[in-house]
Amino acid sequence: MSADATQPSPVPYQPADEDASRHGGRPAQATPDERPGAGRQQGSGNHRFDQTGTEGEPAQHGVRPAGSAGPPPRTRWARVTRRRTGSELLPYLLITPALLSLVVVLGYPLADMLLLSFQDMTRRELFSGAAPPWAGLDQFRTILSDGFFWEVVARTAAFTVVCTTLTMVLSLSIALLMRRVSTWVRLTIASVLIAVWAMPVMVAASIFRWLFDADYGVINWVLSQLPMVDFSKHNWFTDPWQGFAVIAGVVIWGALPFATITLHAALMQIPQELEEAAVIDGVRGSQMLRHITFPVIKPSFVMVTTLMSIWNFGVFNQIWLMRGGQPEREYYLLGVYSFIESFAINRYSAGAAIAVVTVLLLLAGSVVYLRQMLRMGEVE
Amino acid sequence: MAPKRLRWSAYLGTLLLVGTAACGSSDDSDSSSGKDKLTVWLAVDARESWPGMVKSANERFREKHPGVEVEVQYQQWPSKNQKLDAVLAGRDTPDVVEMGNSETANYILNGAFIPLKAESFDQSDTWLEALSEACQSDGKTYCVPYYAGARIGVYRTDYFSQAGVTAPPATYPELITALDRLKAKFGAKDPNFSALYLPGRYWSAAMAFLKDAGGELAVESNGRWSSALSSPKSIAGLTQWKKLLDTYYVGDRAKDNGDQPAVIGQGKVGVFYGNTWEAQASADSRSGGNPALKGKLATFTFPGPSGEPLPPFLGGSTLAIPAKSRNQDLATEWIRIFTDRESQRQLIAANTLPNNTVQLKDVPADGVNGPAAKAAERGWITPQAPGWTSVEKSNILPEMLERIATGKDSVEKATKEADRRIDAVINER
Repeated sequence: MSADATQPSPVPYQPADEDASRHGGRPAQATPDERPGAGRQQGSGNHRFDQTGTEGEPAQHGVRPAGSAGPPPRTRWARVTRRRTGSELLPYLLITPALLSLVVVLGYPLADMLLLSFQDMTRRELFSGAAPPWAGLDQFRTILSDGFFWEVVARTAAFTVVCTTLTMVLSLSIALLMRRVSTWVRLTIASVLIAVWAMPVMVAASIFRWLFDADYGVINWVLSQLPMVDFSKHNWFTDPWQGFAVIAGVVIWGALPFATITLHAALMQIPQELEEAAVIDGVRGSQMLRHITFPVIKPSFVMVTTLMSIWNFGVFNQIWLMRGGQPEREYYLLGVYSFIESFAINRYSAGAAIAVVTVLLLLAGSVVYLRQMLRMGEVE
Repeated sequence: MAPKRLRWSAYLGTLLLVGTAACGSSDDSDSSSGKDKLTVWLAVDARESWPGMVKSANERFREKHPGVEVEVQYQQWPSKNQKLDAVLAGRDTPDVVEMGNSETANYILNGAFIPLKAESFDQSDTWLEALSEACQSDGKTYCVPYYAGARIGVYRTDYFSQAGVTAPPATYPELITALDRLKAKFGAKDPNFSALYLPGRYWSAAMAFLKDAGGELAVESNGRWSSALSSPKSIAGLTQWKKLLDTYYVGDRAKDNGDQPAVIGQGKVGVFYGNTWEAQASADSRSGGNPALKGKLATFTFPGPSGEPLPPFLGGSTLAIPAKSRNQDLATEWIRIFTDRESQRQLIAANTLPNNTVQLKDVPADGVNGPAAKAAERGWITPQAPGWTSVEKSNILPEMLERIATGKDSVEKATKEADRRIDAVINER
């Protein structure tokens, strides 16, 4: 990006071109050059300027070939310089407490975990406080060559995809529904959602566990009331497919409020006139969703999807609690697996290595979304 | 600009310093007050079943050591060891910790506890082997036996007489006859009635059948342990267990015995295998039982298929002193009083088995705990292997049993898989 901004490349840079054209009506674009490349340059150059006008950018702009984009806008220069000497430090100061607490509560444990995964920590070191011996890549070698680990990875990925997809489809449907219904129905839906949100996971999982209990569960009883159906003594967790269906249900149930309310808020931003105009232009049901509604809420949708994927990938509580703190191996997801390796089998380093791999997998998965989000951020 | 930044970082630095100083000072005050205070971790059983004995032992300790404050903190079994690991990794540890006899080996091997002079404790030459064995390593003693518990049969006297069974079963065929009668009398009418309550994940019950058939959980040769669940004798024992479960148990097979008293309280069980105190708990609403069952539960020595009493897992507890304790001498003195014959006498009065064979004879044979005292002679404990805690904490045995009980795997297949998993961790520290 920075290279693009400094060198007049003959190859048109597509996404940035879009940027420029969308900003077309703004004062910054008031003196567009004839050539598309130049227009792009100014657009993206200014844009970068707004974001990071503090890192020696002026020098780079200075070497810009004259004539390609006209003289640099003086007023902007002046403003940036003033900002640098004046309150430029303020944003950093404001963000410092948050940054510090992140470093303390996230950065330190993460670094420690990384360190631990390259060591061989046993209880002897834990109890005596001695430094654990280095193990190099041994932990990773053991894990990655274990078929069961990959089974767990595949299971976790599948669980994440299923839960996230269902959550997003359901929450979008409910959010769309909430726009159509009368006020009191909407309020009822909203308050039910908030109530679900307010329920601690511990409580919810324990209640669901009892609902699905084989001997005393109300679900079995209700199902058995149906004609020709006998669910008495049916154990939902004997078959892991059924068990995971129940667990996924609890996870989705708990995730719906956040997703729905966020999407609902995003939907409220769609101007009435836009949809009315679309209707007059002959847009019908699904077209409206695809071309009008969805593009507007896409940033929120992508954000919620990303968060859901991250949360679902790391699901621990629901499985742990619904399996009574003793999940069978069929119910291991990465989080549970790492916990059991660390704290049940006391292979602290192996557990840390699993956690490191989990983080890496999550990062790899998130990169796609993050790029999408960053790109959309630029559009904004 | 630069001075401003400096000033801000100075503020921040000061804040951080104040913060750390505050933390530091609170730590200091803790350690200084720790000099005349003894922190003891006991499992909740003491609070629920013999609070009087704890009180009297503490009073006797205070007479000898006035000015020393004893704080007893009660711990839940499932969460105790994770908490213990966490505090052992830090600096402020309790001075005395109660450890189940199947939990000690790994801690001892990893140097968590200090060695003790066994002969300085009352009746140490007659300690129950199942408990003292759990405290030994390389000829040294690292913990002190506290109490034992042996599982026995508990039956509903009213159901037995309604089904025409006059005496508690003394032999295995008698047991089968009694169960058949119960099943015919109550099971025919009520599909939820279990003549014998034997949930699948109840591993100490299943392993008792394995032991009765001459099987072993794990064997040691040349210092290496290996799991022996798929040996022919072990398989024979587990097959017996599965047969009993198939014939007389109708409940959820993926459960363990955690809520046994509450289930018995529901009234749909004829016989169960458990600790003596569970018979009392089943008639006590505080532990989820049903007060209407008072006087309707009696105990018997559970006969095994081999003709001998079913060898019970000799559960039990020991007391150990963490190596990081700052009051090791006082802690030793406290354990001495807490496990002496006077304290043990009060334990017996609270229907618990004592830590030594001499006082085991004082347990009234016709009392509720008589059958347990008798069964305890055949008692067994889990292998004293370095990694046995890992085996227990990763639930390998319950999972294996669940797979057998639900019919997902044959006994042979499930035990082979469990052997493989156990072998992977049993020799690890």
